[in-house]
Amino acid sequence: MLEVKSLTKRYGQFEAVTSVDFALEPGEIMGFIGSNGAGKTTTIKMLATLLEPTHGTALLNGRPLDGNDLEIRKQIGYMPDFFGLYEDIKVWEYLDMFATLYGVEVNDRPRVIDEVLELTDLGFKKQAFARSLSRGMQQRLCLARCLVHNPTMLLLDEPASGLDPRARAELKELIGELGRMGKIVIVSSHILPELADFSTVVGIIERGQMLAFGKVNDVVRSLTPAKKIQVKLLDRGAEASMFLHSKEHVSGTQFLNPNEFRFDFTGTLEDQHALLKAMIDAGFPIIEFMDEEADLEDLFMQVTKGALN
Amino acid sequence: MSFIENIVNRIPNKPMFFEVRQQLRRSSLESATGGSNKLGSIIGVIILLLIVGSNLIMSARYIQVGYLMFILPVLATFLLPAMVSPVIAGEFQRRSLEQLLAAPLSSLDIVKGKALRAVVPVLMMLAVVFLMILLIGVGKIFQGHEPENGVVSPFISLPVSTILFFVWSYFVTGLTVFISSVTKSTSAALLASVGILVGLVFVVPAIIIPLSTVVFGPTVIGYLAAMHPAGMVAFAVLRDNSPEPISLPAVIAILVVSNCIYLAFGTLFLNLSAKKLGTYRKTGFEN
Repeated sequence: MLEVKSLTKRYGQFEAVTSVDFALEPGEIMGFIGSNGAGKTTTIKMLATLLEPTHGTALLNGRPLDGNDLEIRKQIGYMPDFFGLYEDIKVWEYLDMFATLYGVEVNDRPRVIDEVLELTDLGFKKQAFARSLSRGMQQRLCLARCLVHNPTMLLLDEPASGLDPRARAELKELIGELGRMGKIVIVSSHILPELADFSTVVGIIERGQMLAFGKVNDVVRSLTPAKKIQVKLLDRGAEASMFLHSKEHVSGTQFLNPNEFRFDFTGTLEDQHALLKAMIDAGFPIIEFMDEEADLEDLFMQVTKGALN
Repeated sequence: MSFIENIVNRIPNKPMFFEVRQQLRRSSLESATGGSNKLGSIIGVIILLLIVGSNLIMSARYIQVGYLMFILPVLATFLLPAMVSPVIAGEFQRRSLEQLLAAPLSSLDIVKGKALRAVVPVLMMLAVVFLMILLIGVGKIFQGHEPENGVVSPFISLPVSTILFFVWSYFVTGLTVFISSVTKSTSAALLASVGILVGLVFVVPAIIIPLSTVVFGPTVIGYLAAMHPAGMVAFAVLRDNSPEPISLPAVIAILVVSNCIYLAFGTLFLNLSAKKLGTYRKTGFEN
């Protein structure tokens, strides 16, 4: 389990990260959202023991993430937002070097290297020079490097930046798989749709402050008392809208087309059921009546609105 | 498993050797030739060594072994900065240092590992020079030359100059690594370290020693000059030719003191480099 308590980083008068708190259980994937310069990378570097916090602590399975504790680093896999590769090193040699550094036994190394290459789908590039790989493959190689020592926690800083759509999709799948393997994964990005698919929790940081943290739907619910419901009819769209507005808990209709609109609803699930039943009883030709999925982008804009103003 | 990989796997599993493994793989004939002409390459190198070696032995009577001892420290002065200056600065420029700092290695382990990798090829090159000098020495013995003929026995000069060479190399490496960790730029590190070393080896003695000789006399300055990386070799090898006889204990004391000074400074610089890396954990890389 990762517990972060009051984590703060100050550079002179400037506070890059201000008293960040959160906790993650094994298997949880946290989408760490924030605009450029919000404090994502600083927070991740503190968790990777690459930056000493000015104040606060982070505990991984009860052990402080302290830069002087070399052993704790064996539990962390850190992938920086930008990384360089050596000119004269092959894929398997690169992994072998880091396996050695992380104390993987010499007899286990070939097996471990084959396993992480298979997981990252790079087995066919084992003998290639690392610098000759495409950007997407280099990202996967870096991820493979983070996995050679089987860490408890993975810190991935902007892992999908610069990748084409296919490489992004593959990376998403891989990160999801890592979560299923029981690892704590923190993935930062300022491109929100890429986090939405696999994050089990989100943390929204802006100007160094964690504005929201929790499961995506919980965060939405805590921030927006009204949920959005989308309705699609064969016809009589305007009439249906007026009908709904005569009911309790309904407000803010927004038409997508003449027979399709969404509205804000503040009632319970029972109220929602009653509303749908009333529409059917009134004879409206309903095709769809559904909750809109929480949209990370909307959520982010809403959460950061106050901070940005 | 290949021959080289067997050797690589026998290297102790200590952090400071982490890059030497890679260096060995890259330096191996198998890597250089892609594994296809390994036998041909080995035969070629052996033939080359035989030709050069036999020529050296044949012409050994005309070469003064003692003077050849100057070559090693001077070569180290110029070769080592070229190889060592990118070790930390290159990691900054390549943006690969973070990966190492995130690994379970101390800053000193990183500095030692990087330095050792850079030094290994230079030492391999200089080992060839050393082998040539050894061949000349052996050639002289075969040709009946005695130390009293003005030629110092290679059995004395070679071990002494070897120790001096390694100690001086250690100092040069430490200094260059430190400069490399401060400048964060390979070219700046190379210029700065070569500048400082040229100043230490050539400029300072050329100005200070002649001036000091007038004030203090040749004997005192002789002792001081002996602490110079090339001067101490000359001092050890040619002491019998000095105008005032110097006792053997004095020679040994001078050599020990000067070597200790170079060792201490080399160690100090390596530790300062590690400390510098440690400060990046507090301030971040961009600062």
